[in-house]
Amino acid sequence: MKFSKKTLETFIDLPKDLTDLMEDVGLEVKSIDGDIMNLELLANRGDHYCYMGLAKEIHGRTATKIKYDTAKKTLPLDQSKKSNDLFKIETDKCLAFSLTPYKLAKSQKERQTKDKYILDILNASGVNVILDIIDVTNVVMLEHGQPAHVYDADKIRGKIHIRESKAGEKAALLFYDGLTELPAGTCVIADDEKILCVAGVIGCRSAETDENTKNILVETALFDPVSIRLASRVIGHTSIASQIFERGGNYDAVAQGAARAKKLYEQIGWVQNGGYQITPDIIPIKTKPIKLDTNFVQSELEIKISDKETEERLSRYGFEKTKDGYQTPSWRVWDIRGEKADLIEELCRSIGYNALPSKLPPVTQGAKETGAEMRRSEINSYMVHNGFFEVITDSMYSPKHANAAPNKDHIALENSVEGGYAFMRNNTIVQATELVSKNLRVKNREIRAFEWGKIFKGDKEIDILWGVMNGSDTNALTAKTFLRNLFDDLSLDAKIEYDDFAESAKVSEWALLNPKRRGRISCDGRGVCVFGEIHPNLLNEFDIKNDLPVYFSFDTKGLMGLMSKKKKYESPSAIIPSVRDISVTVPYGCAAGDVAAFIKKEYKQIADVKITDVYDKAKEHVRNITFTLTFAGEFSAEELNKLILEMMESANNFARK
Amino acid sequence: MNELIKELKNAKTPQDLDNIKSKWLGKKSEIKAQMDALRNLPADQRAATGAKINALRVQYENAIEGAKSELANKLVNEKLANDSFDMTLPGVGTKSGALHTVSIIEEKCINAMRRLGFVVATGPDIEDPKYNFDLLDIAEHHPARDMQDTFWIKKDKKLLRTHTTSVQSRYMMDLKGDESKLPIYIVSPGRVYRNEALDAMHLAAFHQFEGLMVGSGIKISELKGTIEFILKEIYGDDIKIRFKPKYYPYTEPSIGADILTARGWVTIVGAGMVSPKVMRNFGFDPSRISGLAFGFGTSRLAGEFTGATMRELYGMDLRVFKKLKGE
Repeated sequence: MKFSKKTLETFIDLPKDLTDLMEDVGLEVKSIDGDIMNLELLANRGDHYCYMGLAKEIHGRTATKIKYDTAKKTLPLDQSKKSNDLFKIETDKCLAFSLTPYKLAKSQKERQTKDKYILDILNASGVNVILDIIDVTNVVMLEHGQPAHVYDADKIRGKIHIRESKAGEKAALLFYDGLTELPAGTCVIADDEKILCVAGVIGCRSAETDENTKNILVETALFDPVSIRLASRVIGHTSIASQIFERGGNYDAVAQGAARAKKLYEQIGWVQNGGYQITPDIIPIKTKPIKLDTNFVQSELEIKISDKETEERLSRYGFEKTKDGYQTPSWRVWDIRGEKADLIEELCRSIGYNALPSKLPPVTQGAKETGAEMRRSEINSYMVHNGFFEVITDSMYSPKHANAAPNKDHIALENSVEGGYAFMRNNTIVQATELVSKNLRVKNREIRAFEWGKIFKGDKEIDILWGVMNGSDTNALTAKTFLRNLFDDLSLDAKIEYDDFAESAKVSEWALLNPKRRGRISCDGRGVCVFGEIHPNLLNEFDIKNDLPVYFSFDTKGLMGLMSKKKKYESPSAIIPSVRDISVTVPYGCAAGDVAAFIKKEYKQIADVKITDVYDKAKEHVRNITFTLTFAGEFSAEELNKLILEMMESANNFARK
Repeated sequence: MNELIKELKNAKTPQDLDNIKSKWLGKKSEIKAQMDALRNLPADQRAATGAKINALRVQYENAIEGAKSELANKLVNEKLANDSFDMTLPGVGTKSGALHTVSIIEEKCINAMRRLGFVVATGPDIEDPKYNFDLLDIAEHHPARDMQDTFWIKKDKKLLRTHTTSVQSRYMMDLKGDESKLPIYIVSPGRVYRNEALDAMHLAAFHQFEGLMVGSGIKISELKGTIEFILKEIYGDDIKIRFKPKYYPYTEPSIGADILTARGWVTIVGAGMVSPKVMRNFGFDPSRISGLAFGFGTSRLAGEFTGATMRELYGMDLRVFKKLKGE
């Protein structure tokens, strides 16, 4: 909210370093433009929405005297002219109310505000200058934090009722066309026929004042914060007044505001016209007195402070010491809860946090990194050294993303202001594809990205580590090696399977991977990772034509829970092994890995089988695959030759079958 | 000897040198023949003649080895002279990647807080309002909720957590008011959500880092000390820090910590002593148990450290991360 420094100076003397002072009392200075300072006000302090509130806060911190002269600036309402029948309160949402009638003393042609003080104070805070009798109410609000409202008395029929709106009841709100239906239970000011004002939020055209208005009723009031907030939300209208009420007004200011309004109205040629009415015994919103002893203060703040100083500092903020403890001032009843901590906070503000001592908490032992944290570090290191960049992507996604997911069971967001965030993601393959697409569009083809994130399925949040890789040398097989190496680095026994694991609805997102080019890695019988090239259909959706990005995903809970195997060192054999290559013709449809597994299983003499070359003969629908065999033990040349011929024949037979 | 030297000078290849060596020192060489002939000399002449022949053989060997070395050097020099290898070509192999700046900052903060005995606590993103708001004394219709525009879940009245303070709520509720489990020192880094219109500065999700210490006799001085500690860990010992009043519904007193930057004072940390009401909500007696809490936005720090916008840091364009790495 914007304030004028010059106007504030009419309330209290200001230091040169005003910005530092305002920050020091918790009123953050967002900007300063000449005389105008824009303050970020605290969400619990309605009393800061006015010059008097700011002055009190500065007084509390600096003890500088407040120089606003109440006697000169107000006119007491004439006690002899009290009325009991101007209004009737019919709801407990109205906590205090006053109504004062005025009439125009003499005919005036000019009804626009000319008073420089009024113009300055309104302009500084960005409050529209409208009409003198309205402008006065806004001055009262900006000076004292007491919202006021003016009605054209000649438009009112019968008595004024402060009541709750009925179901279906409508009001002709200012600045709104037609009639607006109010929710039942909204606190309104009405006459016998119509609604005149939505309490604390917005006036109505039905009692609107204008240049022809001759008789007015001026209201000052205090309303229940929650009811004002609800009405403001429903109508979609926020004002300084509604913000004050929402945070809690000052019950003493109802009378003070009326007295200040009277002074200002008299200055512009209006006089009280008959009896005023004010809720006869405004019942203060009582807070229990807070007991506070100096030992406690000294213990909490770890400073030396006397009873007298404590009392003096608290009194600056309006807390008066009574025999039962400190009594909360009327403008603080909403944020002070009757706790000792409330007063400790006041003392902190008065002394200044920077003047309080500082020390580290007692530490007997530092905390250790957990096993999961260490594993995460290892994985991060592996990823980074393999060229991966960590990214952070949205946990929510759009209907387009959701449609692309095979599993349509999404957690939907109710009130997202951005259409792109309609659902919680239940997979990350779609986003991975989007990532590839976005990077290809900017001619970045070498893509390696990973994220520690979550997916949301049913009522479960699943922690995952996912990644995507793309580039000239990337395909499902490079990903396989990359992942195998990771498991080796983590000392985990990994088993890679290629079965049709995507059939289960539970993991239907795996259908977004190419069914011929995907695999699953398990450790200790538990599936922990799935990888594969992204399905061509999904690539088409993102207009990816010439690339084969590979996606992988880990269930991190499973991954973190796995125990690393203990490495047992065995010296390399002193015998130089015999190594021979064989070529096997493998028809399409037969997996090379299966042939390798067959050789290893059938021939105990073989220590290791590696697939070292593949030659595709597409016309014949076969591949010539070279297997490099490492023999276990020592063999003569004749034995080896005989064995190799036998292996080639049986392997070719196996492949053909 | 002169003839040998002449032949060595004419040698062009290592093979030529091998042939010369064979001719002058091999089985059919003259020197071998002379050695063989020694046995026919009278015994008193053998030693002197043998020594002469050996000296000559050593001379031949040295001359041949010298020529070999010279030729090898010559050949290497010729090869180097003709080498067209271009070292200005880019290096081959995988370049390293990088962790996200937010992760780097988080890790730095976690490591620092571990030294004070803090451990990491985590919690769900989809949260019960009880943990996100109610236990923290953020009343349903209080303006404080405006500070945290909330994503609500359609189905079950849950929400996306607006701060990681919800993790602290859960952690404290799990203690069931058992004072014997105190003190607790936890940090809760993680993703939080705000239902705001997006622009370069505002995202629907970002990262926070919060800490909570609860025990007996924890004071405001320790709150200040802890904040100074973490800020110095992040920004270095010379950083200038100031404290000021703030308002958070769940702490009392509530404070903010500013640091002095080239742009002036900037608020980095929100903090406070756990309010008595919240402490009671957690099942503890605030007259015996107190706590300090603090939090800051790691996303914001990442933006300040790198100069990248929030949208860039939370985007999918890997060129951003390559640039941040220094490529």
